[in-house]
Amino acid sequence: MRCSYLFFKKITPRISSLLMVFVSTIPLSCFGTSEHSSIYIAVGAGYASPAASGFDASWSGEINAGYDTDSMGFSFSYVETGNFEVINSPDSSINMEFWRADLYKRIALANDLYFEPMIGLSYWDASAKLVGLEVGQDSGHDFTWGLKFSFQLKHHLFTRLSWINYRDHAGTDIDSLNILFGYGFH
Amino acid sequence: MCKLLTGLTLISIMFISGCSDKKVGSSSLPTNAIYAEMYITQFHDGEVTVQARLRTGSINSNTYVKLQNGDSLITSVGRPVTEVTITNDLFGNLGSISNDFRQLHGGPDLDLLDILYPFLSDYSEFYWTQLPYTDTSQPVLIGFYRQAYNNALNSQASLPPVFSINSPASNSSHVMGGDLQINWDNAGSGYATRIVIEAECENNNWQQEYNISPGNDLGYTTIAANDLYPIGAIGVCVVTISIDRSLVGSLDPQYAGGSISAHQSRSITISVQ
Repeated sequence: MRCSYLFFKKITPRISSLLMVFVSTIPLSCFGTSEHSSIYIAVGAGYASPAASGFDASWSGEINAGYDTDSMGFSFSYVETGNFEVINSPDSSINMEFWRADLYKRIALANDLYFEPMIGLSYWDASAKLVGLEVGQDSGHDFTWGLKFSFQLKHHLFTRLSWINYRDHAGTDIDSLNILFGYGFH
Repeated sequence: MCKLLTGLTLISIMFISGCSDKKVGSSSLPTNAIYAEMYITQFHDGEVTVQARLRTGSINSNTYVKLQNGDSLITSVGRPVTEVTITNDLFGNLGSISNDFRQLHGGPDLDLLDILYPFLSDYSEFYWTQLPYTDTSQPVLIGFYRQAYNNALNSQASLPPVFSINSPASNSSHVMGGDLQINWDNAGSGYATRIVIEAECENNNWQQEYNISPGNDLGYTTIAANDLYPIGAIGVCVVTISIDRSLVGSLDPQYAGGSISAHQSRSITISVQ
């Protein structure tokens, strides 16, 4: 139990932080000049659901910018959720937002279709309402992981389906499923 | 032309009907200008219904208050919302305490149609909610949270002890032959008991109340035959026997006046012929 706590609360954020720092120091040329590459921006929406009993899912919105090649990529994202309502007390809810940096591997499944497992680090901020009144706020950072599928629609346009798992520091998982549309600058 | 006449007729009725209730928004009313009536009632299933009705000035006022601009009535068990602060494990903590808190909804409508034609609607509707609460050891609070005026958070009442009606059995049939004794358990002192008998007969309806003052609840009372089967009734009478135990609570002094009380309410239906 203690080891598990240390791993999830203390060690994984540090590992992912170091990983991000490491990745940011890699020259873009190291991703392979022979590969296709682009800087992109994307926006999307979907839903998010906390793995906490008694809470409803809600919508989520995401905006991100990143860089990818044919084999890997990284991105920075801002994700906002609606209110996770307490099912039996509709005036009580939790609202969250995330800032996320992630690194992902790109595996070509077919022409223009990629499977992209990712890891990252998220900073989260949450506020709680009880019967309509603000009663609490919390924030923190933790390890994030997820899976994405992206498909090149046209030369510059692409769409991406992403499932991301976040975790607050009390150990509650929050899953989001978003579909994004983006534009790549080649 | 017809529309004009109809409109004029309705407006005339509006002005003629001086007895109709009125309503006003809370945003212009300080707390000490509001009269509050609050009722907390637990039924046999353990759920607690909380009701509140706000008027301007006094109990004699027929002007009811509609909450506006963030003013809200919130009921809770044991402690007011202002004492709740969550800093860690938001999901876990909010999920565990949210059942103890509810915002009251409803109240009088306040829309343009009702302002133009106030006689069309019933303004005296209560704000209400339900608490899935069965513990009678803690008081139930009703807090009035104001945006522009003083809060009134300290209105509270404790529920009287739970009880059940032991006899007669619910849905039983009786042939009228005399008075009927009603028995209930968990008799005690410190609260008032009110028994309401409502008889719906084929040709007649009848209602009678029996009041037992605090300290005199022995766990039974006798209902006169004529209250179960009114004189002149024919056929079968469906009789509802309701027993209400009540305790008066304390209303926050910020209000102009009013009352708060907590009730245990039980009822059964029998048929009498």
